[in-house]
Amino acid sequence: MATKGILIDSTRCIGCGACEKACKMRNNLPLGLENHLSATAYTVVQERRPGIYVRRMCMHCENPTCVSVCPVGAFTKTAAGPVTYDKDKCIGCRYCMYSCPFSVPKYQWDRVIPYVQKCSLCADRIEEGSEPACTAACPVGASIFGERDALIGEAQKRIRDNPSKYVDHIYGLNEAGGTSVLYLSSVPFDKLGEPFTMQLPHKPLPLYTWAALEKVPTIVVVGGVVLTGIWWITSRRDEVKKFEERTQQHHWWQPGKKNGGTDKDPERR
Amino acid sequence: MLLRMPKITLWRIIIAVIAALGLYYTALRYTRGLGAVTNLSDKFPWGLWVGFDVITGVGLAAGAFIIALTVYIFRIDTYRPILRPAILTGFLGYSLVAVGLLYDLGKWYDVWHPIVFWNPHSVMFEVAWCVMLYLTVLALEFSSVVFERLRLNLLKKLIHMLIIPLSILGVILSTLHQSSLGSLFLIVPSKLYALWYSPYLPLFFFVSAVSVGFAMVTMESFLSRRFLGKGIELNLLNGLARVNVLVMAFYLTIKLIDLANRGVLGAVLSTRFESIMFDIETMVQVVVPLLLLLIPAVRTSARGLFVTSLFIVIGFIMNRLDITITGVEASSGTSYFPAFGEIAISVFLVTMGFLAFAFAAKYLNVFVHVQKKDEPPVAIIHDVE
Amino acid sequence: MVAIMVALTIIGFVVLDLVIQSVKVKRARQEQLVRLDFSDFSVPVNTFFYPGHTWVNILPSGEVRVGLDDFARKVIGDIEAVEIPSRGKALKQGEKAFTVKSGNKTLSFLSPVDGEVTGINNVMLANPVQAARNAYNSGWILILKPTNLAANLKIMKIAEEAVAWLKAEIRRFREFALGENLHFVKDELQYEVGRTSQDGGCLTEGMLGRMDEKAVRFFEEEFLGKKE
Repeated sequence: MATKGILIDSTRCIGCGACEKACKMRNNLPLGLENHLSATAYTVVQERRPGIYVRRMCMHCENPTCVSVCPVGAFTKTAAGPVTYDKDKCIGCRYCMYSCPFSVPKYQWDRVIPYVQKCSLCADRIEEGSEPACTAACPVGASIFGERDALIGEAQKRIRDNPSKYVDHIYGLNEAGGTSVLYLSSVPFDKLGEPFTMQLPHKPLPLYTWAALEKVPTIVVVGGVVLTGIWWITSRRDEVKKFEERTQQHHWWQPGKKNGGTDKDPERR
Repeated sequence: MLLRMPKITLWRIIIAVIAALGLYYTALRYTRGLGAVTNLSDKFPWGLWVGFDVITGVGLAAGAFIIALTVYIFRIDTYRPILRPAILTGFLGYSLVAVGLLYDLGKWYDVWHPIVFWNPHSVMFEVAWCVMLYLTVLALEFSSVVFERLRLNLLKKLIHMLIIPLSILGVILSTLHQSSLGSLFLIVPSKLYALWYSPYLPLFFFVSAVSVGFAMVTMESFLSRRFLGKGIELNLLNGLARVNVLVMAFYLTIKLIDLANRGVLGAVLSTRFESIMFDIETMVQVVVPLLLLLIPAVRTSARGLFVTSLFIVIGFIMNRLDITITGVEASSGTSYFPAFGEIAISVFLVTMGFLAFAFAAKYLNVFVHVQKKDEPPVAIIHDVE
Repeated sequence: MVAIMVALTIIGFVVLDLVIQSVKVKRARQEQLVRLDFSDFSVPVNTFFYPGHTWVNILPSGEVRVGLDDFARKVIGDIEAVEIPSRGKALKQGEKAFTVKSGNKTLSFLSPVDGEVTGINNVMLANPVQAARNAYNSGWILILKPTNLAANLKIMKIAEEAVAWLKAEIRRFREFALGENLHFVKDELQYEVGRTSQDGGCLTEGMLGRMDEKAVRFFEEEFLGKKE
């Protein structure tokens, strides 16, 4: 199955908030306007420049940081595209929140037993063959759901057809190794505020830590061999020293017996 | 049985206050959640507990593996007198890290999950396993002291037989997780300030942990003398300091080369808050101790070694906190300062560590007088009539 | 900010402890005379003692290590400086070997053997106060390559003999300290006599500091053997 995704065209968004509401209903979250992503708002629409609305949500990276960093594997990148969260595995270390390049995962700080909260791209709906609640609710087609490759094609077509309207950049095509959620904009992305202002490498972030982690088996093997080797040498050295001390003692007490055959072997004494 | 009132001293009053506050905030944290006690937020999910209690704590407990390496693998017997205190400090340090995690983890009762749910791509997973295994190694290494006290000679012998493989395992595990704590931050290239973010973070973390390990062993000796009246082995500490000069010089060199290679050496002179913090940290952690230790009079005097070690330890703590907290403040879009509850819990944990050390030192044979090869038996003249 | 806060907290605790300690030290100083014990001596059984209160240890290389003994160290108190002949210098038994300074007092020690200086203790030079505390270990001063060892050793004491001799020396020092014409510690001792033992009180470390110049020279002659 080809990975699915969402294309968000900020030039079409009118900031009506229908997606926010649909999301909240779908996920049983308390209704009410929120300005930022939170444990009770998996998507928000923000007016970043006069008349320019940007919808924030989980980017559903192709090679997600959260999936890579979670010590217990609570996040999964499903074949269909969504990055899902297993609240029963989660231990609450919040490394996902610390490391997510888009600062998406949010936490239930006020709960005694808190969980990480974020958009799941309505993975269950996609499995049923439907589309996420937010894209279904969008009245102007600013967010559209589809296969990622098709969405990229569509985005390229829009830029080609209307080069004066769009900046020639599909945000999410390469950022952090590519994301399932793609953005189009009429102003340069670095003027749209977080997270677009951040200089993200095109290399998937998990590769940075993997470069260190893949050395672990080598360190274990080489370390084990080297340390055992050193120990063997030092303990041998001590044995030799003890042996020599004993032989010296031997000569001291029996100085006359230089060639005594049996006494040559100090182990026998 | 007669219960006697313990003597009231200033330190005991302070400890009592710390314990009372600590218990209060512990209760609050487990009944009201993280939000009630901490200043953590969605924008700033890692604070003092992760930065100090866990990441710094692991580093400060590095002395154990260095001394175990010296005594068991290199077989330099002169350092045997500080072996037991170093292992004890390591064991207590890692135990405190585990306890710190129980405070910090949202679902603390699931702390064992990494044992069953594996994710080999996660640095945190590797750190969790290494810390678990190493805590076991330290417990086994130290158990011989407990067995000795309980006169379980058979068990003590068993541990003694295992001590070499255990030490080798301990050194490997320590190398892995001390460096991996640095790898934790490799994944935030866009968030961490450029002076700190480097592909060599694992190497920096490992080398600075070795350096602070030496300093911590020195500090422990002084604290033991101060509070328990146990003697210190000045010539041993002097030897450690000399090795530390090399370690710190190496650290400073690779840091400077790395800054130059990444083209951010100029940022050292910037007046940005992060740059100033970086400069202070580097001065305190490496430059000043290095200069101090180059003076023979400092190296050979108790006070000199104490002050130098204090510099290294404080600089090390600053370095770890700068990376976990200060370095990501700008990109987080908010500023973080721990809530009183967070500070109270951290101080409480450290205090408990001190008390546990004092307790163990009192009831177990931690400070053994090892008969040295060049030290003959002595006759003692007690009084002349 | 957090880093600075934590750093200041630690420094705060250290400073607080230093203040507490300094108060304690001040209090202790007033009771010092009674507290410091002069009577505990460890005598290593493999060490030769020269009558001038220097000791000799024979190293595996055949060279000997030389230092001043714990009795002398305790009389002196804190050794603040040592003057050591340079490498290669030839010494004779009974000749001046090295000089020790404490406060404004200076004491010369005699060489216990004939030999050539082949090593000096740099730690002792750099930090004598600490190093000297452990008189027979870190407190060594010279390494000599002996030239007449067998003969030299004849007048030295070892093991049980050394213990007996040291006991006698301590007794002699007590008499010396209480002697009629040498009243340098008399007042202090009388102050103590009533509170501690009946045989003249226990002596305190660092008596040298309370001796006048005449007493110092007398001590040097009588105990360190500088008779000429």
